Amino acid sequence: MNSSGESAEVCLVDDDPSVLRSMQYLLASDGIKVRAFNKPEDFLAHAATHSVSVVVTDIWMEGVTGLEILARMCALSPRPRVIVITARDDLAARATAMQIGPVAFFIKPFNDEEFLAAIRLALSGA
Amino acid sequence: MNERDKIDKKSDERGVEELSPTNEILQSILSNMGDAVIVADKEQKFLVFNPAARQMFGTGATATTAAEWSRQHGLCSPDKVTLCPPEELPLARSIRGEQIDDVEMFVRNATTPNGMWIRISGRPLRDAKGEISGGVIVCRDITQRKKEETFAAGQSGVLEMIAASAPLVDILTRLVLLMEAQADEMLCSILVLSADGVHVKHGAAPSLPEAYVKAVNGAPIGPRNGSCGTAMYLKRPVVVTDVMTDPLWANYRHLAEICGLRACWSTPILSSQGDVLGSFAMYRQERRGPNAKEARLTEVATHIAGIAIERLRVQEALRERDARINLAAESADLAFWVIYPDQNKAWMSDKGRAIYGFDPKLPLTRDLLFSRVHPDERAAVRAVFDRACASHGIFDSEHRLVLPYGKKRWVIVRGRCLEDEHGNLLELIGMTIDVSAQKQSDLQLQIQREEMAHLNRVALMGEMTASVAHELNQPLTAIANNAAAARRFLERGNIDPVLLQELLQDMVADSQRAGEVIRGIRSLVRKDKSAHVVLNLNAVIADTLRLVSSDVVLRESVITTEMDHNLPQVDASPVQIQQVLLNLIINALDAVEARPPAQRRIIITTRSLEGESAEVSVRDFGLGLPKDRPEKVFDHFFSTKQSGMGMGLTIVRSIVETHGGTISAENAPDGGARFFFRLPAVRRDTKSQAA
Repeated sequence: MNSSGESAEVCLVDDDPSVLRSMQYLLASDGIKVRAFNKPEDFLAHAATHSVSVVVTDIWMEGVTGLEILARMCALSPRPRVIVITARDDLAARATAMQIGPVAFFIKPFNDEEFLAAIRLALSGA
Repeated sequence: MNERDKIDKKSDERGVEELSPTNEILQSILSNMGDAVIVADKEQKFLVFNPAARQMFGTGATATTAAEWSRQHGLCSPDKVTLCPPEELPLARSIRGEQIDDVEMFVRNATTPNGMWIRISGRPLRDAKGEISGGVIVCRDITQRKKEETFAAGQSGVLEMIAASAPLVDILTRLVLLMEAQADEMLCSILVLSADGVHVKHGAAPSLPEAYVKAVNGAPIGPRNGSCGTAMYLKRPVVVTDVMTDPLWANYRHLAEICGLRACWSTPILSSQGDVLGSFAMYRQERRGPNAKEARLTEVATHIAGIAIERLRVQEALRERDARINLAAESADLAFWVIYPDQNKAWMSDKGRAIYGFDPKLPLTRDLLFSRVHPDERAAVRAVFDRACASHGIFDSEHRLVLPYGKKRWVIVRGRCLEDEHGNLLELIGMTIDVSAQKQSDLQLQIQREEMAHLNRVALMGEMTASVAHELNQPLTAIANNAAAARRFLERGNIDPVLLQELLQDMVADSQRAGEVIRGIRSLVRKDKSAHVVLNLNAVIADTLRLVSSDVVLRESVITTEMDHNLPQVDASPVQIQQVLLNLIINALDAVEARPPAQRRIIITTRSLEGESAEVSVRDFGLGLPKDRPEKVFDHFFSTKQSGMGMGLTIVRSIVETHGGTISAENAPDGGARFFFRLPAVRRDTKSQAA
């Protein structure tokens, strides 16, 4: 089920190492190329010099607010397609995310098929 | 006087002339001696009737035979009224040949209208042949001695009444009558000063007119209030020789006039401490002051009356004290008891019998008392008791009683040993307090407190839902992802066994992590969380911050810590201290929510207070506490939050205080609130044990 965006790289940002690693495995099992970041700043530093088409990020991480990380991701040029994952299932989290307008919003834990489908969709540029 | 002259003449003619002229000396003695000497012949004719006899027996010398003597001379038996039968008269008996020694008689006749006590001795007279020719008696006036004896006996009688706790009015009446009997036409009265120290009460005045007694009863004392009122007021004797002119009697003059009283001398009755108890007064119907005898009588009367009144006061005070103690004892569920250790005997107050479930009449023994102690505690109580007896010390125990039919009571028992003057153990006296009701409510209160604390912990979990969800969802997400990845690799059929092992290992690790989270929640919401351990508050704070870290992040707040690394250890329940910290931290998070994210700061500080206690302070930069009284945040149902129950800080304070600590709240000078609690450091010996 590999799509045309196979060569493209997906960036993962999560401050929880075991969640980050599990997502790496999951994407790898689908043949998707992954670059993982444990800290949002590391990702932003990477994005400053590389073109990022898709980023999967948690929005509640230590040291930076959800709104701030999303704002800074959206300020990147070209603007990456953002998939939000969060362990916080409430209206406030959803509202914060929607201000930025991500392509997908997942509450942890999430269904692997739906998640991978969303990533593939983002990679295809839809 | 004429009468007496006649007697003199007759006795001269009849008796003395017959004596031989060589007996001139004898004659002189007879004439001058104080004792009466009477000689009569066999026919009961007087031969000698000396001047002293004339003085004593008046006109008696004219009587012809013994049959007439008693009536003629007023010779009475000691009852003072019955005339002495002629055959029993000492002179008659001595004429009959009897030897008489010290017979006492009472004489009342025209010469001695008030009567006279005499003591008589008699001997028969014999002629040269030894035949009885007559009799001689010698009589001595013993009136004064008799009076003194009666007075002394009267005083003893009054003192006996005092000793026997006779009614005060009876004692004082007897005393007044005794005094009045010592002088003619003297009236006496005793007034008692009321407890208020201002008004007088009738004590005794058996001979004063009733109207007068009534008028005086209840009158106030003062500087011009008659003799008695003034004497009590001035605390010194007041002698009024004429009540009709003396200014002190201005208010009572009319009354005194009606009652025929003219002089009144009053002396205050003083207690052994010198306090005025009342007054003793002598009244006269003539204008004069007291003589030496009356002054002496007054001294005796005030002394005895003082004893009587003071004793009554002491008894009343004792009775009142007893009544108060009993009242207090009964209302406080107090029992008194005495144990006589070497006799296996015991005494207990009625209340005590009720507490211990003993019949009011059952004879008590020490063993019977111990039989009521709960079997589990009997040996220990017995040991405390034996120790107290051995050391002659005190006995202090809190234990349960089991009454017949199984009823149980909680009691506190305190006692002490009493020794005799040689230091031997005499008895153990003590009291028992029934604290069952208090215990019951203590227990209920503790249960309530624990339930409230538990509810608070459950509520705290509710407040931390974000953290709880986050903490659980992270490992669950990782597990789900790893499982999905493994399945996908397996479906593709090209899985590297090393990779699969890694996936499985991660899943196991994340499962354990999820388990830890659940265990942490369970331990926090589980009931009965009071087990104490020696712990370091810095470590508890770190644990607690881990628990809330997600909430802190989600609430876009920052908590910084300033830990004192020399913080002394405390003896505390970890979960309860965590509960205190969680309450304070969540309150602080709520408080800073009103601020923009960059200003949502909380600082947790610990410090050692000279090694004696450990202080933890949670300081926020929110809007601060009520300005008027920051401490009221600890009150029940005080809440600034819409969803708050208002119990959190009340529970926090209760927990801190049951740990022997204190908690306070204040507004920080540069804004926000600061809560700080202090817990006592564990004692050094405990600490070294723990180390």
